Amino acid sequence: MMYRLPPVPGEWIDRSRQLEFEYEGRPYTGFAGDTMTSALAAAGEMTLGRSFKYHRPRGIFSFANHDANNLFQVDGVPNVRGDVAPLAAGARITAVNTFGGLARDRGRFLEWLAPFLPVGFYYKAFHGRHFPRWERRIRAISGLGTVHAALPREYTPKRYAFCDVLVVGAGATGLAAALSAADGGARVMLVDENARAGGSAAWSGATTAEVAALGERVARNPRIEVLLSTYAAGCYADRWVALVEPHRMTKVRARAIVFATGVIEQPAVFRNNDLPGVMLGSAAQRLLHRCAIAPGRRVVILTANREGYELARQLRAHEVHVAAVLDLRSGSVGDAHEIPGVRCETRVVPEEAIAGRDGAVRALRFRCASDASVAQRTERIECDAVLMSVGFAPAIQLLMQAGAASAYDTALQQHLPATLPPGIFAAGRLNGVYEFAARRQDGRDAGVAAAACARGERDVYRHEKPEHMRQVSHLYPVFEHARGRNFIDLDEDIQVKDLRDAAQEGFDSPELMKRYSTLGMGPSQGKLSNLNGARVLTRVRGTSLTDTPLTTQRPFYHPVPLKHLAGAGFHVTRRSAAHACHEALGASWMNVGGWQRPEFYSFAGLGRAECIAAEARAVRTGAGLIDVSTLGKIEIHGPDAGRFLDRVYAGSFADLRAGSTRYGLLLDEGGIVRDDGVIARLGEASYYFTTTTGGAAGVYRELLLWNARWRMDCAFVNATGHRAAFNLAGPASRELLQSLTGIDLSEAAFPFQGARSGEVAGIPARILRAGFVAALGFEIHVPFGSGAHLWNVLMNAGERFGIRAFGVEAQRLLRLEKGHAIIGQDTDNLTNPFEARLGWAVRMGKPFFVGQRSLRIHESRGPRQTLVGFELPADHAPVFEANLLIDGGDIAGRVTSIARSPTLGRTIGLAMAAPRLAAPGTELAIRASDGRMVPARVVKTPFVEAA
Amino acid sequence: MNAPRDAWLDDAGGRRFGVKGPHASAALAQLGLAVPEQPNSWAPLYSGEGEQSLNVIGRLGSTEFFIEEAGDAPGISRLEKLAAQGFAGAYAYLREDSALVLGGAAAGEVLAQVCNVDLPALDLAARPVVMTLMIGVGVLVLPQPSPHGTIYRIWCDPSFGTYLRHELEEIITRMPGRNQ
Repeated sequence: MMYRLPPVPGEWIDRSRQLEFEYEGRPYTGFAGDTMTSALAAAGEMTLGRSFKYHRPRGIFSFANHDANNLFQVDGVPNVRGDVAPLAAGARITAVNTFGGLARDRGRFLEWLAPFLPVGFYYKAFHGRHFPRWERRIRAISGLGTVHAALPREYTPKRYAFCDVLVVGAGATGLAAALSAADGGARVMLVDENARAGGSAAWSGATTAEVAALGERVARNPRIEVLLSTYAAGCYADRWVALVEPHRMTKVRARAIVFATGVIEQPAVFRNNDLPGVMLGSAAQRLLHRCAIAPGRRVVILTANREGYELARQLRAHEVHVAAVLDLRSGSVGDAHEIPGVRCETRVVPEEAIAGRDGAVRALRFRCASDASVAQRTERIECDAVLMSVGFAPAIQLLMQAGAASAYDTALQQHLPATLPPGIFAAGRLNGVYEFAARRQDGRDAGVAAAACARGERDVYRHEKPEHMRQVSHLYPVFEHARGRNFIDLDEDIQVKDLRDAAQEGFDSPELMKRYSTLGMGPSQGKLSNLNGARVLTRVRGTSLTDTPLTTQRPFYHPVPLKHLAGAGFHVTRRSAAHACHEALGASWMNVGGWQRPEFYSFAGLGRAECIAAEARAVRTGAGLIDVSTLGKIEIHGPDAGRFLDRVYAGSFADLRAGSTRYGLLLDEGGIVRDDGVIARLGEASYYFTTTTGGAAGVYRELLLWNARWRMDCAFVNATGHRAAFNLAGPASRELLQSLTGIDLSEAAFPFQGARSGEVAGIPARILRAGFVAALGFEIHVPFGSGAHLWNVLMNAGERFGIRAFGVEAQRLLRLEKGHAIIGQDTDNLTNPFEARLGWAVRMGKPFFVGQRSLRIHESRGPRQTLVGFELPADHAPVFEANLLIDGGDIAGRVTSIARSPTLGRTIGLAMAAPRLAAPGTELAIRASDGRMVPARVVKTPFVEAA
Repeated sequence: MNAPRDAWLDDAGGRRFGVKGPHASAALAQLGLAVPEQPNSWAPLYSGEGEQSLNVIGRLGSTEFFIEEAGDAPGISRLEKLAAQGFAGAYAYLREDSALVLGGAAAGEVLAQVCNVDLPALDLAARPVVMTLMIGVGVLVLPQPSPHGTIYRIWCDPSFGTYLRHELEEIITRMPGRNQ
């Protein structure tokens, strides 16, 4: 049973500030500076959660942010990491992954099903007819915590930061590295996931005063920015590192990075090694030195290194009863020794931890043969804590993400960095340097080298392997038991037999075994399990860790809250100059290619369809105005402008007369339709043309790319956002517009496909004769700043013509009546111009244009599909875009556009159909969404001839 | 109430124009306008104007320039004539950018949340002008000294103007110490 000790020098808690909180419905008290876990531990709570799979009781294991079973639901927020989350007054905390509460969790009976849940269960069960049943059941019982969608959104910004040297880890090594880098003139950022700097120095060679002095030097140094309670979640190319702070994410780019991430203590594997009260020795050290908590009243230490004996000494110094130090090694090991008043045994083999009534450990059974000549005997020792200090694994994950390679060192029994990319440095225990003074020196060396690297000096740092490295890790701390329950991975409840079975089934490489068994795939990402898993694998395969690669290390180092990934939630939106005008007219908005566009304009008493129909009628009978500012608008100037367009577009433009426009079709090199628009020649060496709304940026980039290759004498301007554009369409459009401009708009002076520059309502404008939605129409392009004014002028002047603003839906309907295809809707990424019936826009006789060569092949092969117009009979079943055409039981095409035409009083559409179905009069069969077959008939387009 | 952090955002006045083409430098010089020597740098539009000039010309590449001019904007007027008359190898074009000015001691913190270029670290003496992305929007940023510290003049496509301004204001409002 854990308990709070009298004050411990250097403790992180503030005993003057008591915090009341609630756990599983019961009141508790902790101190400021406590984590949620430590506050509960101090209150004697041994069981803090249930395991993910079998719902076994679990308690503190690492107290280092790796405990997947110490996740809490806190005030509605799921999966708060109790090891590091600070205790807050009034917090309401519950365990996650329980049914009916922690103590009476009904899920605990799942352990009885363990024999029916073998390794690879998902792969064995989740297929065929059983899949839906298993999926439902697994979904019902799995999950950590509960997401409450009603909780208010937390604003979690991201920010970018820059430094010369980033030091990850603020232990003794990291502090020394930061100081020496700063002394070298570098701007340093020092990050550590703990609430205070110092790491494990206070219990691994330094005094509390020494650690504090180091920390103060860092705090006083103006060149060092310290971020605590912050972890490096991932390391990416070009030395970008994602730092997760409690309330924001920082993406920092460093010229050099020093990884002083230390090591992660590894557990021994024996039966019931997961009971509450069985924990790592370093967890006990953290509890003791940071939170003044005794790990138990009668403690047994299971060790295989010097650190275990040091732990015993420090516990005794705080009057914690150490019942025994049980060394797994033989007595000949140099640092195994006697501690006065403590039973010390060597050559120990742990057999099992024994649970008490409360589910926590109450005894350890082990075999012992201190003298090789004595036969091994089995003993049981009573205890309420088993502390494991049997070895370490380097916290090498981030270093590997940065591009380093590692190799297993047999002298140390630890992976060490083998090669480091430029600008990346490792120091301290990560390098196999365990002694305090040596760690500081290693940190200093790395800091100096990193600062030099940041200054652009040649990378001269070469880490020298220490001469006298002691073995700190047991070769194989895995002790199998006939009745199992010897856990390798506490996140996923993976036992030794699971890994053996996986290997037996052929999944006998680290990567395969990981995926098949889910080893290392839980919240701690294998930090406490991958090494022992690899050890089991090597034992099965008869190999060694030297020739067994580690699994690939990927971000994130710790799980990252989704709120941090979501950030501030920016949603880029573009607005036209006339946005407020549309708003005033009751626009119903839709997103088109990143723009906010009116889908239609609401009128009191009219539904959506009626509004759209009314807008379309206005265009057919009088005048309509639509905002087409979203069209891409590109200028090309220069003596080669026409020849350039001839090479890029499928039509001819060098011969276009100034003051004229021509339809342009842009293909890719495969001859596939990419974009289209209207190209106007403004002068001898100047063209102005439009692209589709969604294609503007891509087309502009492509033009620049082509000219970077061809180096023709022309310059490009992307005027998309800088010009507003409105399409005034309908039979009254000419008279209306003529009232606002001095340009002669008569048919003779300004015919279809004409282009003019002049003024409209005193605003400099470019006017293009357009026919996309109506036989008569004018696109008016003006500077953005004049857009709103011109819109209002046109609407006011149009009142006498019954003008109506029309939105995207009416536009789609009107162009459908005209039989015009929309690129990207009526075509797809496999459609060539001949199939879209746009062959008339292609000049195959030109010497060259992009896609020409492929198009010749398409032309010779003939179309695979053809865009056809069709109409439906009256009272047809609902048909939607993407419904399939069926012919002879096979798919023979799909509907690309469909709408009910108010002009014609029937439903019309376009479809990509097999060429054999393209002849007018052909009967089609469309399979509606509900499965019904709907008859249709191919008809000629345009559906509406002159309007 | 905590004292507000010092970051502010304002609209910028002035008119803007662009010039592109292999002879853009020559055309500008002929119009009596300054021509920054280095790409990605700026200069006061007229000789004799200092570092805090409101009339600026930025060189965005070897053959591309951006001009903003306050008041009557005589230089812009000359450019408009150039655009109308034509100048072989120099193409003046309309720019209707949204223009913002960000300033204050905490301006760098605002920029850190929206842009992955270390703008506060730029050397103002080199008169840098940066084309980059700011929360998904292509922007032109010109850091400039002012009596109250560095200000950042920001231009973007006008269709993004409302979005960019709104988000920057939101960030400033949410900064620690702001009365929300």
